[in-house]
Amino acid sequence: MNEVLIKTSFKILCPLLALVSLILFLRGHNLPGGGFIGGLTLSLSMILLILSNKESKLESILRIYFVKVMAICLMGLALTALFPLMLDKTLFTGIWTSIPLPIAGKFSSILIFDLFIYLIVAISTTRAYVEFTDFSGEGRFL
Amino acid sequence: MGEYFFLLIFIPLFASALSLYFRGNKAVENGITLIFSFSYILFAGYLLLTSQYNHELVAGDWPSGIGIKLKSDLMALLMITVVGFMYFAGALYGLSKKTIENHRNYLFLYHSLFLGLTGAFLTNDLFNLFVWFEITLMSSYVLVVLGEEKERLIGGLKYIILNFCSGLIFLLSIGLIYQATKTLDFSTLSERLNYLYQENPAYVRALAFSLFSAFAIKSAFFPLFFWLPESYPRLSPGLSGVLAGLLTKLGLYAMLRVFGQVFPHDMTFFTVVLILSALTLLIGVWGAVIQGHIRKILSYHIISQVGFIGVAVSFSFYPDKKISMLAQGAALFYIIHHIIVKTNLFFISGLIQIKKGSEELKDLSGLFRRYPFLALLFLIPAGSLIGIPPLSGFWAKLSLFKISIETRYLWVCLFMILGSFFTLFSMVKIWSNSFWGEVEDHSPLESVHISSYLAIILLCLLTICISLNPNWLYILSNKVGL
Repeated sequence: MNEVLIKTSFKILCPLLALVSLILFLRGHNLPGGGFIGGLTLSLSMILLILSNKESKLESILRIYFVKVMAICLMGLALTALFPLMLDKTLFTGIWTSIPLPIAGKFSSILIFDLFIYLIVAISTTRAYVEFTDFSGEGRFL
Repeated sequence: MGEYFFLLIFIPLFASALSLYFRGNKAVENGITLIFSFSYILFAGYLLLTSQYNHELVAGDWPSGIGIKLKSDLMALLMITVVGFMYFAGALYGLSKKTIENHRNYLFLYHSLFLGLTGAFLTNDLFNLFVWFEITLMSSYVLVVLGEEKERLIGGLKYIILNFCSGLIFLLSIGLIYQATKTLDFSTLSERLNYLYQENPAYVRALAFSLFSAFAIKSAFFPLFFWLPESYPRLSPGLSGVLAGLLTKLGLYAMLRVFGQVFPHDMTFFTVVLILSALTLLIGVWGAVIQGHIRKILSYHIISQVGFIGVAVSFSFYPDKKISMLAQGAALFYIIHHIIVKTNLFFISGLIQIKKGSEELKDLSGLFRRYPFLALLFLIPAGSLIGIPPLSGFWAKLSLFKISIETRYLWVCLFMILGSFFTLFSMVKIWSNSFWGEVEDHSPLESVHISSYLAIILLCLLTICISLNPNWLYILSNKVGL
């Protein structure tokens, strides 16, 4: 395998995939895409970054903050689901504002809910990849 | 307050998120667990006692049939209240380090287990039932393999593979049901299945059987029960108590809900499930008779008790309406009694294991002399499991006998009498080998944190409450079928 070729192409692919994942995430409400698929694409971009750049700090950042970020995202999901109750609406109701956004149309509470899913999927998939390819045995059982 | 019943799902969700955030900080984690599990019981008990049930909610303001529907009926709330007691008792029992897995992810997974259970009881839709089932099982898969002993991993693997298969069967049969009826919402599904049943009874029967096989694996019916005694006895006492009490009963609850209340009542299906339950109750208890390890005996008892509950559940889809309503109440009563008693027995045998370092009957002797209080605590759930009057198991079995005599299924009575006899026999085996006898080894016993005793006493008190006043629960659970 020609490592230089692969590494250079990874470097180009990385930001491109991140951009695609953002677009997928934003268009997800009415079109194919959304938090889950966007998150998977973002995790692909992060895995490529780790593969192409051995010195990147991403891996160690993931190791340190993984659990706290997961906990905050989980809490955020629950709170966004409960938020409509304060406006006398049913659980999980989407609240739309008039703030315009490219691709997504308007800003809404659904987008925030999706954002947490996006983060959870992206980070946990990358973390799983890091865990599976780590043979030093340091990070056992998370 | 009744319309805010969905907060019951959010209590364990917040607890799991918080215990993940404060992971590693034992004092904070334990505080969160105790506070949240206690508020769970308070809220569920409040809703039940003030009879604020039968509220419905469709998430996201969607029309009914499109959105996710949650419903708090009496059956769900009764189960949730009992599960809440297990939630709190398990948390209390696990306060000391010796009684649970010494792993930093334990409490997070413990809370997500109860998140799945709560959702499964509150849901009113077949597909969401599957999703909540999977959340419960996913947490239990990880919990089962948290240790590193070889035997435990082998048992855990069997548990995971078999339950995975059952999940697949569950999903496929949901697909078939949707293909036939174009709905999964319980109330519309019930109408359309009844309509389909008049046209093509064999097809509905096939759908029922495929769904039943999924639930049967999850609740350890004969012949697919072997994962249970392989995995449960190897876990830590606190975890095995909670899993033993709750997981198989979730499968039985799903059967009661889906076949008793949604599917049309079919004679062939009823007969097959009745025969399978009768076999389960006898074969399970035979397994218990030959074992010599306390928690293995108790694990086989779960299988036989699943058979008993299975008899009640199968009568809940007996074609006669009156019998089916009676049986739903009886099944619910039995499930509630059994959850409390089984968890308690596992907790107590766990204490024996911690104190003596072994659970093999041949290593134990004379516990009664050294620990009369523990022996007394053991006697209450053990007697109740056998069905000695006036303990709660007697009342649960009484209504079963009444139903099977009324419907002239006398052979079922014979099976149940034999099953109870062997349960008594294997309980006496535990009692005479571990509690009676001379004190052989005088080495000092390991001390146990007082909170573990408190959890056991709480569960014993619950059993005594049901035993002394079975009428209250009996009337309440009989309202379920209406």
